[in-house]
Amino acid sequence: MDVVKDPDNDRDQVLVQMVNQYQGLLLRMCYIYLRDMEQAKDATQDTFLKAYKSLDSFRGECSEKTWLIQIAMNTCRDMQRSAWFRHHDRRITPEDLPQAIQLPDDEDDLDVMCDVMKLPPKLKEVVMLYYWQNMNVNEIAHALGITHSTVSTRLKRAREKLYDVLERRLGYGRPQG
Amino acid sequence: MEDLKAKQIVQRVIDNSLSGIQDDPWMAQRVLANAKGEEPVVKKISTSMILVIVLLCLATTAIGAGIIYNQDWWWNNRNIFEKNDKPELYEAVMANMVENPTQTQCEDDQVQIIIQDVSWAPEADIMTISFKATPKKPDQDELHSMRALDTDGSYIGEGGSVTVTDDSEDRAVHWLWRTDIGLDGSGGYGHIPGYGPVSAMMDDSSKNLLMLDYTGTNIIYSTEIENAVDVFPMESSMDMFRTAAGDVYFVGKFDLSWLRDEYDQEMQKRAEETPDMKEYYEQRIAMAQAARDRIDKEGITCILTYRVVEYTEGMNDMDLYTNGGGRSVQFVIRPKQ
Repeated sequence: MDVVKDPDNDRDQVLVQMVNQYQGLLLRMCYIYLRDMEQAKDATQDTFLKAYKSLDSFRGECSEKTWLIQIAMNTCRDMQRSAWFRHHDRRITPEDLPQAIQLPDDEDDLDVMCDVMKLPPKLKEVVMLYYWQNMNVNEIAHALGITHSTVSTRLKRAREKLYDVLERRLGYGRPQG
Repeated sequence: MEDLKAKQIVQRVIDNSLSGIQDDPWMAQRVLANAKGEEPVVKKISTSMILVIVLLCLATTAIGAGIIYNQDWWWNNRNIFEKNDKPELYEAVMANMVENPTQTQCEDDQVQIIIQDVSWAPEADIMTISFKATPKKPDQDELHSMRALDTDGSYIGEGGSVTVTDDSEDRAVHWLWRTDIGLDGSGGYGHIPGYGPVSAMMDDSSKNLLMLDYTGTNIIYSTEIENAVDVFPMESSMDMFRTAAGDVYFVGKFDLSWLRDEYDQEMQKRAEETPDMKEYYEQRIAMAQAARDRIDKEGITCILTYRVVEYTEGMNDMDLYTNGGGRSVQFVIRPKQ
């Protein structure tokens, strides 16, 4: 059962459980989106704060995870649009990634990661949700607050760019037809 | 390749690449504290927004006033947060400011970069530098900061709208942001003053548009191998903008907490807490120690890297985001005695 919908949980306990369960996911998602770890931490904290304040309005129309991702993506968008964001260094190279151990075999993967992070934000959103989080079009539409057809269109464009990256960096061929 | 395979690859790439990100054990407590009014989480953002508005006004009024862009101007006009809220840091930066450090720029026939001043202030855990970039052929080239491109995140490239409107959701064309031309320069595009299609935002669209991208500053701590250097990358934040004179001005702030003994202890602690990351943290300690060993009376040698791309409408995005690299300026910091 989602922690939000468990009647035995009080608000503070719900928040603690949500943070324990989803902090890692949201922090990574915000980092990919914003390309700045400090900004990502702020965005993640802001996401949980907004969720905490909106717990009563969560009606379970989507999963708790989708709801939190929706808040996180909106928070990242707001931060990216703010003028302050422009004054931070957002360069991303493989050396900047907080990888555990950078083994030589991972170099291509790190290049792919950097290329994914450089995608335009709207395409990056669908790559994260569809390819990384394995969400379906319905869930993505809900999380991003856009229509199914918009999801499909962005997914098509994102797929083109992603396959370009995978072909160039890892040598995977494009799908036929 | 099918989507399923692509998913597996993306999942592997992201999970592996970001495995070093650690959860914040105090996140829940901080959120609860903020929610209960102990420390409003919006403070940072709203203060920043107010600051930016003030800075935009200052930048606008400063145009034509014959400003000399250096850190003294920057810390007292464009970025006044530290002066007001962290006076110790501001004073440490100012007290350690050194102008015109010894420097050598690589061969570059497009842009001249001059490191104007450097402040090495370990007592405040900070190093700052500023540089001015000027096009070498101003009659042919117009220089802008790469950071000014597509700042609203609406550019998606192929598939986006080619009809430029104020509220284009997904744009196929790049937009350039200008702060140096004032409130009347928007040309009717966008909600941000001075923001619109690239060619419309240039001073002279018949010139070549050069985009300057800052890519990093590192401390050189070893040159033992011929034609190669070992560098220690520093965490940084930066500000880069075009001035009314047509130059691009940069200020970077760099973290010097790695100079402290506590840095090694913190890295060691992390290595013990996360055995799978032991090698990474030990490498950080070794690099920091090597960098510290280089700091002596002769000064610290740094290398600032940048790239310059000649922008053309419709150019390949990958070229735009990757070409023109391999350029650098080496400079020496001699801490004030």
